[in-house]
Amino acid sequence: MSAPVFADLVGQQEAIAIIERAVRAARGIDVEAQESGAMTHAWLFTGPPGSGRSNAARAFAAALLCTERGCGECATCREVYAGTHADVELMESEGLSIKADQIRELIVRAAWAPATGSFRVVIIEDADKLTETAANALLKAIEEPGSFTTWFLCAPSPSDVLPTIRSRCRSVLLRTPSHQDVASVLIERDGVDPTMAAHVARASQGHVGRAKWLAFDEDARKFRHDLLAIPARIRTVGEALSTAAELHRAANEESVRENADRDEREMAELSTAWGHGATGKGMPSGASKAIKELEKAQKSRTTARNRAFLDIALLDLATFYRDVLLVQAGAEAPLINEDLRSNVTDVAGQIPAEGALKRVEAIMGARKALAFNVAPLLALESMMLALRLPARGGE
Amino acid sequence: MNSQLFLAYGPETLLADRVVETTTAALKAQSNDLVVESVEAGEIDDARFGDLFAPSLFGEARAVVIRNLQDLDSEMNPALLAYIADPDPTITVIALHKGGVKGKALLEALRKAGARETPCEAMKRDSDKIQFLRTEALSRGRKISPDAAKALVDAIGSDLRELANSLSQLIADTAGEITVEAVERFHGGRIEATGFDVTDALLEGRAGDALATLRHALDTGTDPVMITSALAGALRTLARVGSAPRSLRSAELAGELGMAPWQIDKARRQLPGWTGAGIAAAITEVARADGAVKGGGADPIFALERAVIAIARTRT
Repeated sequence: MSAPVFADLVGQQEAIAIIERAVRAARGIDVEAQESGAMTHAWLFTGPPGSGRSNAARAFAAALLCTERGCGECATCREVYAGTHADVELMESEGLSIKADQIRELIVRAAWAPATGSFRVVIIEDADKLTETAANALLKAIEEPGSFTTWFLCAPSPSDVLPTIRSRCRSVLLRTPSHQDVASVLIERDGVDPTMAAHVARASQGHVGRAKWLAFDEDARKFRHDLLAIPARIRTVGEALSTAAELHRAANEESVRENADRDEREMAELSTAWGHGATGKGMPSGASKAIKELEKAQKSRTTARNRAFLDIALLDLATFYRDVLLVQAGAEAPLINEDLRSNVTDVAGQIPAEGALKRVEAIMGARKALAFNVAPLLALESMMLALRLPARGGE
Repeated sequence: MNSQLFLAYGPETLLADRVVETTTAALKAQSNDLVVESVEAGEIDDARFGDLFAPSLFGEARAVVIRNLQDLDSEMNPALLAYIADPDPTITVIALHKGGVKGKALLEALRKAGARETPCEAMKRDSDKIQFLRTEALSRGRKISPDAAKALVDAIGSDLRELANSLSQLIADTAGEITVEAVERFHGGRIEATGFDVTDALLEGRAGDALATLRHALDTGTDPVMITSALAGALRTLARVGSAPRSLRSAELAGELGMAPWQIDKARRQLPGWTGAGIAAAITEVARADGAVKGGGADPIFALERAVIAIARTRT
């Protein structure tokens, strides 16, 4: 039985076993593991979104630092999870990239001696966002860290980080948890109704966090439902363009709504720190530079959020055409979008199998275009146009 | 009038420089040993101010040109105000101010003291630029025909300094009145173009013009990204106007589509020749070009030209 701190890692038994053995080795409990080198100073956690990469890194850190090897209850475990533990440097990145300057600062902090235990852990949550210079700045530090320091990097796949980084890390692969695993965790841990749990587990395609979000947020379920109604609905150029505009607007509203309060509060705090509203000669020089930097960081965060939102929406749309192909092939396997079966069969009857594949390709093309910073509305328009159903009479 | 204080007020630096040139030239004509000091207002501190306005040992004539008066450190204001109230008879001050209300106290003091003020307004309208060219030519003892002036404005466009330079080039290279032919000979075919010009030509089915205009736009400094966004915007308008009921008048439709009536009229003029499928294919091309322009392709210009040709083919 693994330590409680690993309970949130759904369906990752192999990864948990590797981590626990490394913890036992690092803490000198398991001599055999220690001698075989089960612990090392740099780890790379890879796995699809929602598989729990950063949770695995945090659980690992907690197990290293906690006296019970990860009880999940003590102050240490809770601090590690909250990112406030003195010996854990947690780099969460909400912007579009992680810059070399941020990494250089991090490297300095990484070399500090541990304050409480005998480990110092640095977690980089989105190592795929490292710019090339930032990754190069990191090389030396992860190759030969101080004797207490351990680096945890997280990325969707090993190829998302530079080969030079990859070769300096031990890789831990996280799988996409099965629908059953996700559903049972939702039922047992969060008390979700079994029918709902089964539905959202399928809909989220093994993304535990998203499954939970869908289970509890009715608006999110409704949005997803409307989104997946698109393929059976759009036929004309006008419809395609207005649908693209709607999706674009929804993404903007969502990212602004999510960030607006925080942006405003951060800005107010920064201006106060620089003496805004105080009496005297006004803000000292440097204030406007700091404010501009914050504005830039906030804008980058909103764009990143916007992109993530659209990316999830596009992946959901792709699942619809996966179902269409399944129906066309006459396969017995359950549909991801079982709730929209009538739509799926309807579309399956109107387009040939190549048509479904072409549409998946258009969706993946749009995802790539968004990542390339193509104007989002334009990318969506181009995609929606490719999704149009043929005029009555076949393609 | 105070002949020792000059003020050039306005954003057009060419005109402001003219004030400096003519004033110092006039002063030089009076005294050969004129010393001209030129300084950025933002760089003036106590020491520099003392240097500039210290009484001269030999009593030679001096001119002090203060550029960007609006940037003067407010702590230096009292010193300059005091000087304006009690100027040194051997010094001529030429102050250049970019316009606006910054440094209001100084401007007021200069005007009150009777400084000779020259407005240096930015010339936005073509008619103003044409007028400028004509007076400019006349001041050099030459004439430029209205057509020629217009052709030159079309070719050079926005920057007044460049216009003036081209005119002096033309004056040097030709004799007699400057004609359209002369302008064409030196600036033949060159026009200032934007993404919107490219888009208009393309949507109206003038593919050749569109390609040529594209080159002009890129050569005159239009960002490739602006061209794809102009294309995307126009195609979007075209599609939305195309799918709206034809029976509605543009003014009625304007509110519903959130566009200006003239945009709708223009799109309706462009619509013949476009089918839904054509617009769809065109938008796909623009999206592809946008990706290539933003780093997905090796050569933005090639990507744009390719898109222009492909879009021209989607029109029937």
